[in-house]
Amino acid sequence: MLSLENIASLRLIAPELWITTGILVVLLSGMLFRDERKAVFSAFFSLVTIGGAFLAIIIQADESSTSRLIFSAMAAHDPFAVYFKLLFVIVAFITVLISVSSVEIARRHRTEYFVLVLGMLLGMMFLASSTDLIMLYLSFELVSLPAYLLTGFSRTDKFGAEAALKYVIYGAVSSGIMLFGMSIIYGVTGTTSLHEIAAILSGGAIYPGAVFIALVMILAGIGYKVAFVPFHFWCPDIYQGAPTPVTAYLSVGSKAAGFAMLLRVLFTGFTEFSSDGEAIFISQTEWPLLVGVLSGITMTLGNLAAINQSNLKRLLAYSSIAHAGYLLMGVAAISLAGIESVLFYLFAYAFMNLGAFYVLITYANKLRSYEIEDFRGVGWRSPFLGSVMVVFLVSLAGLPPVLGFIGKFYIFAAVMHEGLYWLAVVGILNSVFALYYYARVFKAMWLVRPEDDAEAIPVGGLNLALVGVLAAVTLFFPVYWEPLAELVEYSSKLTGF
Amino acid sequence: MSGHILSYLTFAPLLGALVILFIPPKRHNAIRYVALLATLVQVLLAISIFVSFDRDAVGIDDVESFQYVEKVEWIETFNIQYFMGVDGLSVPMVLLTALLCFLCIPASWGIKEGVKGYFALFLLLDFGMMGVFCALDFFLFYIFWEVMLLPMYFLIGIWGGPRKEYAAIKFFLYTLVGSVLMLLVMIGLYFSVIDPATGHHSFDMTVMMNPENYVPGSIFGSVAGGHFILSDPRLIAFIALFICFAIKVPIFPFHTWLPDAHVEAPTAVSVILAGILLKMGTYGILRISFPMMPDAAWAARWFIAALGFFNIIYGAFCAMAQKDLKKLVAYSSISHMGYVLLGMAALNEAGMQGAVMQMFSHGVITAMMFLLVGVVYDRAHHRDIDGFGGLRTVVPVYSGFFALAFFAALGLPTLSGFIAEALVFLGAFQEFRILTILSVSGIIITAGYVLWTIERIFLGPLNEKYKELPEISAREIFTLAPIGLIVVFVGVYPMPVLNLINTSLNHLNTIVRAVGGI
Repeated sequence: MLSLENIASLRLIAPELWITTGILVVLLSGMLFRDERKAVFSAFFSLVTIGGAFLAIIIQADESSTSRLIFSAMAAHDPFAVYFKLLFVIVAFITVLISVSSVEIARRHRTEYFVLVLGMLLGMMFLASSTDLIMLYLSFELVSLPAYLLTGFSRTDKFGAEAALKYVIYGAVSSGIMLFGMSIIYGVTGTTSLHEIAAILSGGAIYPGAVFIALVMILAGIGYKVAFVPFHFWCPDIYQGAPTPVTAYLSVGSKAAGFAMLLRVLFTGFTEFSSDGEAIFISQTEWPLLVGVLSGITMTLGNLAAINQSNLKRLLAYSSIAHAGYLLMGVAAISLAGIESVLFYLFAYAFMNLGAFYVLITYANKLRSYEIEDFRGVGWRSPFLGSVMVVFLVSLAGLPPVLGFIGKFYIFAAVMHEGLYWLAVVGILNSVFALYYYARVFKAMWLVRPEDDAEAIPVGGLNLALVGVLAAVTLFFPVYWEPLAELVEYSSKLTGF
Repeated sequence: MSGHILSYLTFAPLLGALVILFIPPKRHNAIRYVALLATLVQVLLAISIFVSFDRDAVGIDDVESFQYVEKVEWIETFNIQYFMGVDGLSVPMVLLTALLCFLCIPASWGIKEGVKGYFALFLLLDFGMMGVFCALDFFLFYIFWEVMLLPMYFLIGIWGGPRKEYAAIKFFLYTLVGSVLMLLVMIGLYFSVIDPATGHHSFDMTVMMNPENYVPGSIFGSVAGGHFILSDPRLIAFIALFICFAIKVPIFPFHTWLPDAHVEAPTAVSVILAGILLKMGTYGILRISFPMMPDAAWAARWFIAALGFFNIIYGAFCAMAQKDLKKLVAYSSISHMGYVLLGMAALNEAGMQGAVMQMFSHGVITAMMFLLVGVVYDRAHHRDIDGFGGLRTVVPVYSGFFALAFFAALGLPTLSGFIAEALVFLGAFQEFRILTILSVSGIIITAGYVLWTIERIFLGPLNEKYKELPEISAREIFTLAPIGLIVVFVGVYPMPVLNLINTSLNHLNTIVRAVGGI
């Protein structure tokens, strides 16, 4: 594998450098302009920054076809990292657009808000490419810190403040545990590079108990980021308390980043190959079974808990826990097909979940509430929004013919191919639970007619267009997802895997 | 044109639905006529298929002899094909779907609220159903199978009766439980077969039916000497698929969603539910379970026959106990679908023909019954059987249609139900003597509730409340008359239908019987 020195590597982090510059520009724009213009310009510069980063990633994407390590093996420039960076950039772009139309983010604080969004984006991008424990930890914190601030962004909101405090405490504890686990790994192997860790561990069992415990501790940190059981407790409170655009960003971006890290750590650091080329876990670290069991528990708990929620943000929080469970199924399959399924599902999840949140925000701008009760009959008051919401919810439930189903299909195919039938059965039963609570939402929206005096809910042109695009992606790819399938197949190759 | 006839047939309603989305919601008539046009196109295409269909082509597991085949690579990564084609098993269902969907549009003319949504969803439902009967790629089949769920949920849930929310979600969850089981089996089968033409796994149904394509050692791949061997995974897969289809049929004990859904659904949706959706269950068994798992089918034939018997008797008794006319018809459907099971379990010429004949015939008869219930409900605003009386003198034409439909359900000779049931018993008697004798008593119970119902509604002293009950309208006659004609015609001269299905069904029998060593 090609490994580049520091100076030669700089070129390959051009997108990250561009975003760093962008953050400074947005900050400056906040100082130069006042009031309304400040809000407009910081949003504009954020979009330019993100758009530029997108182009930069696309331009350099070809170079990733031969995976290479950069900064003396601190990070990798491979198709896997490029895929995730593109996903993050798209998610951040949509988040900025969602935030622009939301009433929950005070206009005079928009500059700071967008800086934090961009900062988190930077962290997520580094997280996807890091191949060294130190780098992983640093980027992990770079994702977490802006996330804490964003959660408590509405200073006067009591729920927001409580959520932010909880988030910080949970985050601090779990990342502390993770750091402890990393230090044990370093103590055992004498290196922080994932590739070298794998090489040393597969050479023979050194302190197998310690290595396994350290791995579990690292999983605790990642588990907090992607919200799998038993590290999910923060999730409903934070999702409910945070401003909704932030909730959307966290539920998609930060979860995807967590999965990028999870895949990188497990598949680069703790996987080896048997003599016939099959990927297997490094002896004494039986993580596929652990991840499989966690997956089953996570989705079951998430789905069952979601059934009784009366607040839509909490409902989507539990749904996002359940989705972490589905995604873990793909990880537990420990195969290329498994990685592909996670990548595919994250793509689908990004669009359908952002879409669902976007529709909720657009409704809530008018309704000023996220209680299901208050959403009764709103489908009839804005048929377009109501219909696309059904599309997003059905996609989250994983029914054909929408994108979420193709994602589920990928995951189930990967799991069944590896013979994990019990996990497939657990997953499939969960889809049935899941449908019940998603159906509760569109039941409230459509099956009750609003009173005659209920006025129509107006939708702005920008919202209409963006929701339309998200719905179009959710509906188009199931009709022909071959391009996406090829992209995912290409991107599933991590360095060293 | 003829090269893509099945695609036109399937996608005509989808196109109609898209057009409706762009019509302003207030223009009710424009919306209705677009829906009518889309379904009319379907009927014409279906008739052209009926006319030009080659009655001697086998189909089932033979790719070459499927007709109007369209086969295009769709998703190469998973070797999913857009593979459509029909044989003798699917053609009657295609005809039935086209006919009933077309007649349901005028039957829905009275929908006043949310017209645009109603017709768009109805056409989407039509699209899914037609696709199911034409698809020959398992993945494609599954997509179509699931496409119907959501429109059906909303059609019941928005335009249904007082307990519509409960009925809609119950239908949705029941069906979903079944279809997720099918998804797992489908993926398992995919990894168990290799298409010899490409050397990759395949979702092609005909590939899955050939024992030689199975990979030894794969989950469903227990094959020896070109024959399937019944093993645990194959049996489990068969049971999972059977539950999936049983929920749709519905077979006891998975039937409880049906009375609720039927009672709450608007008339046209009930017609579709009973006339077509239930048939998808038995169609699935014949199209997928039997040819792909003939070993398990052969082993389970007694069990299927027993379930058929139980359905016949249980459904008929339940129907007899009902006070609500629509619920009565719903339970009679459960009873009549039992004949289909009994016939297919016999796995001989007469039994199998009877089963498919019954699928077709029950489709038209029950459609007629639900339409008739709808007619009286629109006028009297209740469906309480005991709440009428002596209607014969007030609405003679309506009474005539009603008698025709219910006598057909009873299995009166010269009506289509008789042919189907007679064939079923003829076939089943050769295999399951006792069960068949017991099942025949179902006819008597059916006669009991049919005659009793007619007596309570149409005979006896006139209920004064309904002295002024308006007679059936021309629009309603337009929806009923074609079905009535078919019921009589097929009852008198069933050969057009039997010729259509015979070749394919005999081949299906051979496939399953080969495993049984006969």
